Amino acid sequence: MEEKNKKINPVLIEGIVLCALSVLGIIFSIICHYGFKVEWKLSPYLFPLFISIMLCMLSISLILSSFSGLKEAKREKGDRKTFLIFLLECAIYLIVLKYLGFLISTMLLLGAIVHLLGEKSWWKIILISVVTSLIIYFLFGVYLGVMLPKGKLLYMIGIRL
Amino acid sequence: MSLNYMIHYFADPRFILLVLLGSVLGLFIGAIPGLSVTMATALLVSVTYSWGTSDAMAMIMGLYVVGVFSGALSAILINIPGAPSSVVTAFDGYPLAKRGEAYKSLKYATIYSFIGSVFGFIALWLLSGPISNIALKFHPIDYFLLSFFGLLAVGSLTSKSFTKGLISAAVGLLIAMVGMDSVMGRPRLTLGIRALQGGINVVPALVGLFGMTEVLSSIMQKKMGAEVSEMKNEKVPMKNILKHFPLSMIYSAIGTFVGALPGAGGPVASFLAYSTAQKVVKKPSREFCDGAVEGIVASESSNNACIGGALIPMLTLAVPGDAVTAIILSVFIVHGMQPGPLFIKTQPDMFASVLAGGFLGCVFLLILGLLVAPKLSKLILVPKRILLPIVTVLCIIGSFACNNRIFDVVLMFIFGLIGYFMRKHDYPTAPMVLAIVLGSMMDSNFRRTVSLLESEEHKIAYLFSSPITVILFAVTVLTLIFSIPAVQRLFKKKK
Repeated sequence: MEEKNKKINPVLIEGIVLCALSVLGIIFSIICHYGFKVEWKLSPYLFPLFISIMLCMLSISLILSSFSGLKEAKREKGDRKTFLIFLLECAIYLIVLKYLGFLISTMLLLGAIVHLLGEKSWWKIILISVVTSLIIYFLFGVYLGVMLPKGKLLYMIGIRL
Repeated sequence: MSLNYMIHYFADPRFILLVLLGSVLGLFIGAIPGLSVTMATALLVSVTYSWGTSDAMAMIMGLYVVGVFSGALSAILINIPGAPSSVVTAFDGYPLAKRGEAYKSLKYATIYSFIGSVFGFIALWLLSGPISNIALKFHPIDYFLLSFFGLLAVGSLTSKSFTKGLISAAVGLLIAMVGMDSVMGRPRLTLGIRALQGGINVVPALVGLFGMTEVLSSIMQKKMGAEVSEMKNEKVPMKNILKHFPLSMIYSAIGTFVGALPGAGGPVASFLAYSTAQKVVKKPSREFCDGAVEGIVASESSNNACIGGALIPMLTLAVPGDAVTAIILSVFIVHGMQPGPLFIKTQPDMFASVLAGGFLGCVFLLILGLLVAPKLSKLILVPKRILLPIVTVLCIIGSFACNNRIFDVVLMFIFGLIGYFMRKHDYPTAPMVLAIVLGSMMDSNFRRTVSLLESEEHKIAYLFSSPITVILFAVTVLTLIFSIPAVQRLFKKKK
């Protein structure tokens, strides 16, 4: 029963994962170096190899620290649902950006995030998302000359936003 | 020579206006908890990408100088520091504000932030030349050791675990290696992804690690409520305020020195200065941590003097003193310039633009701090549900603007997630940022050193032939040894 309750120290897991990644880094650097067919002193993989070896030593140090009591500070459980929905909304935004263009995609994203974070009033959501998007569009796209994504679908129907 | 250029900038209305604009931005951004000067500077880098370098510097210096100060505003009014360097200001600023003396607290913070900033910039002006002359004698190994020391110092000062700090730096170095190798002209560590052949641009990495990480962390946290202390416009005699001036010089010197150490920055400077004040001031106006104005003087003088201090190694050695100067270094790099020992000689106008922007920022700090800041009390409580979406869109546009690629926006989100998980597991992001900025310089100097050694018969003798190399090597090794927890425990036992 006591063993079931004993959780593995997350620092130990981090150390093991980093160690594995650094060993992969060492192997990858050596293989890629031989692909270049140059001496080590000229090899672009000399420094990455050096860093991977350093990372391997540091991860071993981390594993040893976990046995000597290094733990992470306890944190309160956060709002995971909101966090994941936020990431999903951003992912959809990145896909839609190419087709609807910056202005409309950003209005939709802003509205979605404002609603997600707790704003209930629909007119406030629309006002914040439309006004903010327009300000940012004119400031960056028009005044500062940043070439914002135009939107393939809108372009096809003749809208150049 | 730099004085002539500085006078030219002081007389340029456009330059002054840009510093003012940056200062106003810095006042708002520094004061609002949840927004940071580092994040705003990272966003400004992408916005000012197509501007002239001196215009970009004007705005960034205004933002930097006033932004560091305005963290004191929310620290005093709502006990939530707007910036890490204002944590110590809250110790005495907030208790004073609760007693109805918020205006007095803010006035002390403004005056001594001004004094500290000016001290730091004067130090930058006077010390940059001598330090550059020393740096001209640097060999490739010296640059490598200096950058390595910088990463060690950042890794040990910004994290409770030295190992985690170094891991963060090592991962940052690997990120910096991605792209086209400058010597062989072939892709390296791109994993077959064509978009990575141009390397990972520093702007999406910075915006992601500072801006998006902040957004993601805020979304995960519960909402914080706060009451704003009332601001009564009371008369505070200047004579009373200025009697702390002699001690502020000591605190400013501490801040300048600490600022010049990579990774140390405002929080370390203000803690050091505060503990100095506690030892030196025998009869404070009130008990320390209960409204002593001497505490505010110490904290604000030192954390603002850090600004000039952090710029010294950045401009003379191309080793940033803190995260913001790492970003400022990237401004020079994206504009085709390279800070370093020759910078002051070859680009005196750019050096002057930093100084002029800094001094003008100090003046605007005083004006805005005395006239505008007291009226901002309500604004600092902007609801998260409005603030976070706007910051998200600014991060998106900031990372898109540098190369006009959606791929950079994707990278920004990836770095945001990396930064979030790093923060969650107590890995500091500052060493990673520093490593991304310094990585390619370290790589080229490392390979140059190895190439030079190949042609030498007595390799060790050649390596340590320069006294600068010996000193840097000794400092680096000692920093490494004394950061090892076992060694620290040994010293604590002996005491």
